[in-house]
Amino acid sequence: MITVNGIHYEIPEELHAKKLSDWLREDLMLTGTKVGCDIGVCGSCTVLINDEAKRSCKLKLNDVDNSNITTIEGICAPDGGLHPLQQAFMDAGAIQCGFCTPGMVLSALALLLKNHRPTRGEIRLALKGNLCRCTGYQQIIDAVELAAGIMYPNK
Amino acid sequence: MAKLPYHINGKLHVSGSSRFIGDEAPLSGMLYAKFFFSPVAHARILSLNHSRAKIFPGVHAVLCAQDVPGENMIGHVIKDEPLFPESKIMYQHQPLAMVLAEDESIAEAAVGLIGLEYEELPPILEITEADERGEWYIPERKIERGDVKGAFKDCAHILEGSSFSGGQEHFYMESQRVRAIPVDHDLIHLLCATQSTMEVQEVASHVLGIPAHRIAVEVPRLGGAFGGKERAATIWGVMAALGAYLTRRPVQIILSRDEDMRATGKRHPFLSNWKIGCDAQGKIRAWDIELMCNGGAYADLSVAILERAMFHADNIYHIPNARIRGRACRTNLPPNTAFRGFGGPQGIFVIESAIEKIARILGKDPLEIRKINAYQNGDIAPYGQIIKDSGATKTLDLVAKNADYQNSLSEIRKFNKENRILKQGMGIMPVKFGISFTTAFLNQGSALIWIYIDGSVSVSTGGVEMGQELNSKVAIVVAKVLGIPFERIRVESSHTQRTGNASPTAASTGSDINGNAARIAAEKLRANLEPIAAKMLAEQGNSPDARVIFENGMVYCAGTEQPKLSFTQVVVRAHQERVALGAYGYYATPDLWFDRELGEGRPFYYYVYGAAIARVELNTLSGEHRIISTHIVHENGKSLHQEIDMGQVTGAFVQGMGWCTMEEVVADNKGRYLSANPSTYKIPGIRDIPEKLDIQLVESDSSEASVFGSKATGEPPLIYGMAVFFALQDAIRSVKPEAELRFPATPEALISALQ
Ligand code: FES
Ligand code: FES
Repeated sequence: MITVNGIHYEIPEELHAKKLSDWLREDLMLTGTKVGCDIGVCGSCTVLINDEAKRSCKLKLNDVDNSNITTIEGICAPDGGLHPLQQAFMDAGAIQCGFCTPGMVLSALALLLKNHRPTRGEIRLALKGNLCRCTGYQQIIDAVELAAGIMYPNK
Repeated sequence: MAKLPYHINGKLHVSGSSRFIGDEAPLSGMLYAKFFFSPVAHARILSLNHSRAKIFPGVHAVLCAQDVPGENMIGHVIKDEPLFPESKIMYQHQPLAMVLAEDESIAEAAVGLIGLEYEELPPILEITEADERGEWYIPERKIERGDVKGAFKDCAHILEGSSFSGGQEHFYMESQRVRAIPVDHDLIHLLCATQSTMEVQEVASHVLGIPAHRIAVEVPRLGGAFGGKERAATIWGVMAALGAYLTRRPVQIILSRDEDMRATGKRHPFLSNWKIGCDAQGKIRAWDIELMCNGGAYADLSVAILERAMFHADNIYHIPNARIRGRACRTNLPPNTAFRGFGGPQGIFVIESAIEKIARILGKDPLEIRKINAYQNGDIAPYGQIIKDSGATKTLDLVAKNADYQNSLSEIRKFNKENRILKQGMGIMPVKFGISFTTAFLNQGSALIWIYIDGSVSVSTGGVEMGQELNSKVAIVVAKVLGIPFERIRVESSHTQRTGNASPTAASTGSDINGNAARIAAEKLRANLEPIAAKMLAEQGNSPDARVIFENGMVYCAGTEQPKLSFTQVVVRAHQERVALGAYGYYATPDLWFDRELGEGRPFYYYVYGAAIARVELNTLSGEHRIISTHIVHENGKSLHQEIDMGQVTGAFVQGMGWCTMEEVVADNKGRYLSANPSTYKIPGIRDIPEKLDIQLVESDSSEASVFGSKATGEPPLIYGMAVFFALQDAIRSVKPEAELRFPATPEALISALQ
């Protein structure tokens, strides 16, 4: 069984070897998970697996049995409201074409869940596997710093 | 003024609900395309056998040159490029046949059943070889001013050199893609990742042999493009159109990263030989340069790119006697194409290399040499355009101040004296970039606006949103003219049925052209609404002659305290009184011309100026470096949105820095690209950016700026990245003064320059 954004799915035998990224996009229509390279290098397909950032194009459904998966669609509030980190990406101007954004947000979220006050250096380290061809990254680092302050104000 | 909202589609992007092509649910009956790509760079085709592929279960069609119903030609300006080659293969990974099947794996398997017999021909891969053989798409181009020969006689110093700048893979995160959908029996709807809807439509109509109105091209948004989806998208768009036309089923093409990197063209490598003459102070008197670019197998945009390189061979420097020659060379590589800067960075790289050499030979400060040669108002560029509003000196002075130039110089000298392995260096990169398509007729665009009777607004332009936030800027313009909140506006996809004949969204002109067209349409609507509003306000007791103000969704008379009407009330009344609530706006950039025979004209509406200074630290043993700081000063008129422009400057700088320090396009001696994925081709990652990146946007009051006094920002800042290259060269030269640093400045290049 795999849980995605709080919903449980039984996985039939014939899907065991399917790529997680393909399953999310094709079967669950969760197309916020983007595929930029399909070989595990660009980070655009990042999802959270038990709160760790992982590349979904490198995993088969078999590999994630009994896992709890969060995709970009799953971090919004039930009423569609944005997570503070999503809001920070908007407010800091960390989005251009938006293709890398879901993966970037989820890698940053995995960091913030563990480290409530990352330094700029720690943010760089956590996002080193997420490529962005548009922004030049500066505003992405700003966004993560901004979000940390909002998510954990009393640090 | 309230802070402008950021990205008009930001909320969609951060929540994963923005749809890129290929994200929409698969259509029933849709076919998936895979290609049989050429295994060699240059060959005569003896036979192409796809009979086994055709009968493979799940395959619906295998298409090649013979299946093209119209003209097998996708070349646009110069007609030299077939959709599928008939007899001659011109580059590695050229698509020779397309398989359409029920899913990608079936298509892939069937591709493996196609047989090709060919007679291999020696490929031409290098600029020098192509040039020696006269493999040019068109004869040499020339721009000449003053008396170059005579001027060299009076020069205290004459220096010569040759400079090479390399290719660059676009690496848009979203690969090339298109979905073609047959509609009724006479229309093909193409959802195509292109920067140029008109071109895809026009070329598809020729290839299919049907009128343009039977092809609708739509672009919802692109996941990055950078020029790589200007011409280079056409081939895929037309392939999908052909597939849908012949099978009457939806067809989807999504290139894998590997296919995309191997089969599509890149930034043009440029080679140039030059001679420069100056007086004893370093004031340049004469400049003789020939620029040659590696255009790849077909002309594509190579001639226009060469031309822009020639227009930027002066950069910010006034050189009274100049001869600039250029030749675009045909080779057997995938057709090289537009890439942010479009030849401008390559042209500027040469003159900046020459300036560095002057400074070194004369033992002068390179900043000083740059300043004494900088354009002043009234100077004339080699192609005859008079310089007005020059920001060259101003931006250089400001960036030197921000970077604390003099102190940094002495710190670096001290550091280099005290350290044996680590060496620091500083590089300067000024920019003057001409804005406009140099092909004058492309400088036109249109917009269509509807105000619906609930007061919400729909805007279409021919412009394509690809992350540059054109849509946000268009919405800002419309919101301003109609006096309504930004949130009331929806900017639609670019669609040939709403805004036809659109020029490519390119040459940094997107917001100038489309923003102005939207402004004009919005002004028409406002003019329609004003008399209605005046009448309604008069009914409420206001003077019928008072000036009507539209602001923040409200409408009132100038001088009155209370807003009296909402925008929507006026709209409803206008509809009842049968006043048009839709308008079309058309804009053509004024006063542009260029005579290619004479090499003379006014190709640019205005220039953008700026300058950067980078400081680096190099480990001379490993060749690794870090960028300690980069300061940028960028002049951009009256910005429509400061933060958007800041994002453009940052992203472009990092892309330029990647081009000249880490991104190396490697092909083997058979013309096969070896770097075809992100693990072998390194684009800048988050840890590669400068530790300190300081960007200052300076407002300027230029008489020739564009919509509401704003200036273009897309391309010019890419050139700042070269400050890092020259900083690394400076670090190397602190060890070995004559060292020549190869392009790009990878660790290997740095080490070899030291040896
Ligand atoms: S798509 Fe998975 S890492 Fe690039
Ligand atoms: S915003 Fe375009 S790739 Fe990151």
